[in-house]
Amino acid sequence: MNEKLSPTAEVQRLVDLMFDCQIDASGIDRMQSLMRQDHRCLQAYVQRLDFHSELLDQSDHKSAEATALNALQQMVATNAKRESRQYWQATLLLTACATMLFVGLSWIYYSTILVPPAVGTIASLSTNLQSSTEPLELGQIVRLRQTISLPQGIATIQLPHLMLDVVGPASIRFERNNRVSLAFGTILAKVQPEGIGFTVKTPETEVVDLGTEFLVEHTSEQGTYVSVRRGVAQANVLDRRGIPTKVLDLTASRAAQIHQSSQTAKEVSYSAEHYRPVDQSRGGIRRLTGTLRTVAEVPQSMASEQLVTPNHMLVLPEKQVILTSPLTVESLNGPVTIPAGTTVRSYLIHYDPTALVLFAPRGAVTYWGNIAALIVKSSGLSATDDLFGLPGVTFETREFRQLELDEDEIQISDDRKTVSFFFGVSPPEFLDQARVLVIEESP
Amino acid sequence: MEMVGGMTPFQSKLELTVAMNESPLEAEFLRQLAAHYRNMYACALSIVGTPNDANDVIQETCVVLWQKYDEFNRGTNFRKWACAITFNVAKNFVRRQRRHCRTGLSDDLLARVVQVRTAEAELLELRREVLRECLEKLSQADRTFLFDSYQESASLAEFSRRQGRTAAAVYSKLTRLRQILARCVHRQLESGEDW
Repeated sequence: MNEKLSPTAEVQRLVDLMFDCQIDASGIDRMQSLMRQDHRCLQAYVQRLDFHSELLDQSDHKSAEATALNALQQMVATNAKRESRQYWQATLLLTACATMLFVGLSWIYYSTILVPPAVGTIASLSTNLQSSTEPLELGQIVRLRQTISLPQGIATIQLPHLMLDVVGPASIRFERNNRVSLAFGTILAKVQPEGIGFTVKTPETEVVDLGTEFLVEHTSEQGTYVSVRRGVAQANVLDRRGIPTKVLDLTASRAAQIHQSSQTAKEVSYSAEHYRPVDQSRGGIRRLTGTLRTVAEVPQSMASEQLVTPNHMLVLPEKQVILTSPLTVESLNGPVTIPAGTTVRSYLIHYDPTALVLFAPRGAVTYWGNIAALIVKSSGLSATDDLFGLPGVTFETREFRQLELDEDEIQISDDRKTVSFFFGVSPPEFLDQARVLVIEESP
Repeated sequence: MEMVGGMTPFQSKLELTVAMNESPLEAEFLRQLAAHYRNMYACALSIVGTPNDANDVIQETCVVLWQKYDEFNRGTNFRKWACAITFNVAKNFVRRQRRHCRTGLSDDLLARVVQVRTAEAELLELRREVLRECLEKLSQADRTFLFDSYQESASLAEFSRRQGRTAAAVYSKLTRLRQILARCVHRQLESGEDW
């Protein structure tokens, strides 16, 4: 800076530099210092900037109105730019929200696709059950579009207002709440009145329930066999395009065989034998929970160490008897007399681990009918073996088959539909058995 | 349409022009603004120091004035009101610039600048009148060069390139013309009888 300049001239010089955007931080500091020291420098600062302001005005030949209007137009442009920026910010925000919403909805949609809604639960499994899809457990949820394939064994699935027994080898897919596709194998449906309309589809047939208990069996060689045990079912014969070409109304104790290749549907003789595996395995059991299983084949012996069940308890449906005379049995809480004429179904609960186990099993059985009596004493069991035991089955005669009520727990629910167990294990003999007499009542 | 300060915001230049011509309120605002625009600009420049910053301040001030115009007490001094707002907007502008690591006058000096400028308003107006006379004494070529340099929104280097001269030469000439004018103003004010 020129040292010959007076402070005011120096300020003027610095103001010029500032006005021309040529000043640096030190120049600003110097200018501020001079302005603080001398009021004349402050005046010089103001006057010099006003000097430049006037030169700017003079260099602009527009009228004052035009200048003001121009300033306002710039203001409008600035506002528009700001509004545009706000618009884009709002747009971006909305886009982000929409994206999040889309992602959320997509997640819900795909989670619905990936995890379809539940249509039922596994209510009963037989001991010999095998699954080629995924291991099945009692209480497991069955979902829409799920396929259950059983190389062997029987699985019972509780759907809304109906029980569905799948008898392996079989493969079934749950298309809707009230519609399944049977690729092969046998299914037995027991439908309550609220479940009317339930449909089983095979490649050549569509069996629509009209309030009944029916069975559908399909093999690629034989086609579809439809059998109605109770009520009415409608069998629609389908062509290769899946369009119904013929309708068969089947009433109780009637059956039909449908062949797709020949497009024939003929009534065949009804045989209750088709229902035997399910009846034998599940009988009037509505639901099993815990570590209980049904049996697929009738065992030869229920004596100690003859039917070993290390990890679960068995429930074996026995005879269904229409009492011709009153029956008095020793039940859990004392003698019970069941009147003559009552249809009674017996279920033997069996647990024989043959060795000490870490965790004794627990479980419960729920029946369609009411539990009339629960026989837990050896004497009561032996007294009813002949009446309710299945033909050819031998029973343990020694006393240890009975429940030890000080370590075994067994109780009946208030509605008398469910009996629950906890069987303790105490050497040297591990067998525990109980017989449940149920007044038969099936959906 | 969104209302700003109880008044209609302008959406386009055309709308603005039409509004100014048709609405009494807007027309009155434009008249007031035109009458005191240059003084407002000078107020802004005295605080921020550069034309570009002053332009930004004026734009922002116009928005504020428009938003607050319904609060303005008619019949009072629009110039005083507008300049007070301009000073506040400009001081806030300088504070923002300082926060972004750019230099600027301190708050206390800005306050003193406002005081001086307000106190010397009449003197400044007188100096302006003298300056206008001094400008008339410049040659047409020098006046054109000077006005062009002040109107040039681009940098000095760009202006120099357009002039076909070096930046140093251009700046040297600009400085010389400013000195001529400053001396002229000083001389005129000192002599007094020329006025």
